[in-house]
Amino acid sequence: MKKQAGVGLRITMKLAAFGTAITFAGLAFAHVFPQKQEPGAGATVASPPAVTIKFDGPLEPAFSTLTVTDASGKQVNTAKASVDPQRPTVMSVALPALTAGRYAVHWAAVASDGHRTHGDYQFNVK
Amino acid sequence: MPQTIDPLVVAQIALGAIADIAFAFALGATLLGFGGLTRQRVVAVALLTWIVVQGLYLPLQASTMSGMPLDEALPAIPLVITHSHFGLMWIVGVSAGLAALVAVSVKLRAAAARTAGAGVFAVALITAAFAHAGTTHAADAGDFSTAELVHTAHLLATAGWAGVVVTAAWPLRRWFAITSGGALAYTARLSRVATLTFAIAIATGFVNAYRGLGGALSPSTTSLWGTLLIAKLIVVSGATVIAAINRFVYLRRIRIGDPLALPAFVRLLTIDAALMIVVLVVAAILGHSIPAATG
Repeated sequence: MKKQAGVGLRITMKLAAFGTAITFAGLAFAHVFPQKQEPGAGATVASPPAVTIKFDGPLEPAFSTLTVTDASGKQVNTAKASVDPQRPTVMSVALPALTAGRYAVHWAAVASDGHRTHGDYQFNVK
Repeated sequence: MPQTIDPLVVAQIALGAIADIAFAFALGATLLGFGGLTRQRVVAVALLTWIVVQGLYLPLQASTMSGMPLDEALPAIPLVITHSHFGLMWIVGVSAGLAALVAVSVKLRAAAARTAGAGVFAVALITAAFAHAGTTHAADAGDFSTAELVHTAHLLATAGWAGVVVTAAWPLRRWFAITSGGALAYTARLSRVATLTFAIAIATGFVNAYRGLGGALSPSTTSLWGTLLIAKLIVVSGATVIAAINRFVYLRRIRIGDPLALPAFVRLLTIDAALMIVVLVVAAILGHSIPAATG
């Protein structure tokens, strides 16, 4: 009986170590982040027709935003950013013709789980 | 670089932890199956607490999702409810919680009606867990996806595991000694349910990990997230070892009539329950944090 109890305890302890190691691994995907940006961060391009960001998870269209400002901090996009209905991981905003200079993209992304992430990056127009 | 922690996130973590603990009490008291009126009261109070916390959480979530301060975000609540996946899952979860509360509170006389009530209660608890899964990372895979369904089972199993331990350790503690056969029957039932829910938690956790990471779990020890994850693993391992000692040592001694075994069993159970509360709180912090791998 005692030996059986010992074996059971050892098996349970091994299971505990194994189980707890894997039980919480799935938590690693709770927030969305940009996967691909067009124009890319730090890129120098001709005036782009739009800024498009592909995220690593689907977005909430009503709460995700994308704006572009010039070097003085003035918003240059007049159109509202939208999430592609066919590809809910892609958000874009149309841009007017931009003069040469440095521009900043400000994004805020709300994922399906309600978590919000945000960030900024810059690109140059030649 | 020092980081300031947003008070809004702290409040969400606190409410998330209270909700998870309340849900664990409701499910744990249900699964234990003993405790008479005390058990029914535990389920009802736990469900009521869970529903109130959902109500308090909603304005905080509106603030998070809209990016506005809390006082300015209140008008965004209808938009959250009607135009977001979180809002849909909130409605589903709260409706299920209310249905479960009604099912457990209404006194039914006829056997058929009691069976129907128990069915409604079970479906409502499962639905509430599904709605919770729909507000976690599993939601990114889509509704009724394998990931979301597996995570629903995982949430039920972990709440059941923690729930039977905390309910047995505190509100139903006296029931172990209240009847002559209570010690043997109730400790055996607690052990059976805890083992089963633990096994399901491991199996579903494995599927979660396989789907999410492909086995490449490498939390950074230099980040708060990684440190918390490791702390949680240590606490869970400790809780499991204590539970194993109870099952393989003291439960056997209770069976052979050792009079000192029950007090020892209950002492270890109380320590286990305290560790379970720590685990649920740390889980709530992790659930609201950005993982090291993506930060």
